[in-house]
Amino acid sequence: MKSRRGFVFTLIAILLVTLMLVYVGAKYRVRLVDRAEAQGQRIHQLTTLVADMENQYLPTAVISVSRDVLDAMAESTVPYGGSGNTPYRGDAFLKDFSSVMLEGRPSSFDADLNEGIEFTLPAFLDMFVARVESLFDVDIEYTVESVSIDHHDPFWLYSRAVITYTLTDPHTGLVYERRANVAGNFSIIGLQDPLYLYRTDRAMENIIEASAFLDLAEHTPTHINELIGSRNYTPDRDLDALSYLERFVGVTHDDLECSRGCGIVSLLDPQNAKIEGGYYSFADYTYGLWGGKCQDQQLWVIKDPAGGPSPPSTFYLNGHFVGANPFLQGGLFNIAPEYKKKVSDENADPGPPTRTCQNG
Amino acid sequence: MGQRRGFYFSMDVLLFLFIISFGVVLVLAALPGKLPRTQPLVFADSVSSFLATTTTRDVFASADVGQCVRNGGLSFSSFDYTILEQVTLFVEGGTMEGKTYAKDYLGCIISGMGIVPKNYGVHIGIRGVFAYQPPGQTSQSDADVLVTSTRIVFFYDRQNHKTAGPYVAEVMIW
Repeated sequence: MKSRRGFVFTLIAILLVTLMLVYVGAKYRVRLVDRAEAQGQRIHQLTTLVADMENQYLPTAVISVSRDVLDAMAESTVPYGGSGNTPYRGDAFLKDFSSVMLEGRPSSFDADLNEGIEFTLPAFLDMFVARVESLFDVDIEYTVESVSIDHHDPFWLYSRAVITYTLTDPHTGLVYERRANVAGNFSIIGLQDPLYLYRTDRAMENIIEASAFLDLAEHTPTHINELIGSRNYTPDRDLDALSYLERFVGVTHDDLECSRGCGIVSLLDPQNAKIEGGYYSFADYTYGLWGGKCQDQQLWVIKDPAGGPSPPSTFYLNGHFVGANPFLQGGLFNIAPEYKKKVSDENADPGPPTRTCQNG
Repeated sequence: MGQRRGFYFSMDVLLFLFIISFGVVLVLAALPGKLPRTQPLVFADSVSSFLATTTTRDVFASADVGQCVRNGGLSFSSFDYTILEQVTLFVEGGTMEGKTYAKDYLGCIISGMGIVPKNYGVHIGIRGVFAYQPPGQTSQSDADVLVTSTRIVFFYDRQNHKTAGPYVAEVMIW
């Protein structure tokens, strides 16, 4: 009887222990699954963050600082300005652009542009990285290896930076070591035209702007052609006409005379204007006044957006036609009196052209 | 004899109770105890990715949504901004009008493109600036599972030539 009772108690004890083991084991497995799920989600979140950093955030920083730097360099490095420097030659501009982006001062002469720009690229990234670190609870260390700039096309610039960074997650121990080629395009609209500052000894500035030709009823092709004609615009059909960056590099009189540039102030973006084909520009009257030549003297005719015969039946502009020349409108810009005189003297006897400019 | 029989009956009852209890505990222990979070987590990420990568141009490619947006009288400085960027531009000035534009825009997208099934609730917000929740959803407070997908909104405002953000955008799904 006693042994039977002992057997029963042993059986009950075994059952109880088994029950506890099964229960605890199941709970432990649930916790493991929860933890794995949380870590998987964290990894996914950080991977998305890294992708966003390289595709969106870092290009935004590079674009923003590049624009600031170009404006500051247009203001500070043109001849007859405070620095007294001559125009850039060769790669000198690119070297200075890089050093202003990284340190706030050019490498080729002594000037501090830090006041002209809101942030250098490292200062901008410091601000942004601090925000990301506090939001996502990660540690980021970075180095900007190099920066460069070039034209994407006549109206868009292409700024690039090589940034290496390490993102460490203290929660999962995850480490992302990345070397990112960060690049972004941005329009020259809104930038300071260095040529105007240079040619007028800073008496005149020209911010490159898009026009407000939004009224389709008023701004017909005929109207725009008449507008161009009435303002004595010299036409140019050279698709390579404009270069914003070249205006930092070659702005001496000889360069101007033979440059293919025919005035950033009068440009047309076919993508916005719904024109088929490449970019077109209208010659800038001021450019001609300074001795610049455009290569095609035929009147520029607006084409049908659908490629039909001229004049087109429908045509509309929604931007990027930068309008009337300030000289012809008179007084739109505050031109220094002596400069007006100089312009008048040059106008008196332009004389025959003495140089033959080559295409391209 | 009667005592022994009683003892066996008691034993049977005890064993029966243990077996039943054991089975119940096994079943309960195997259950996760809470609803799975993976599906809403993935879904919240999908919605935030959609909002962060789809441009206004893509939105207008959908005829119904394009019509809905046009009916709302919204104007866009560029079609190349993503939905989150455009919403940020609407609300950045802090005006009531801007917030209404942003809500109308998101309303058209959510209802017209069907990015959130009806059995889910969604809340889209830019922290400290703007919040939108489509009408007719279940309340957040009644939800068993509430997950958030967070992204930074930081981009170049091509119209005003300045950076916008960084703002913290949140998509909550329940």
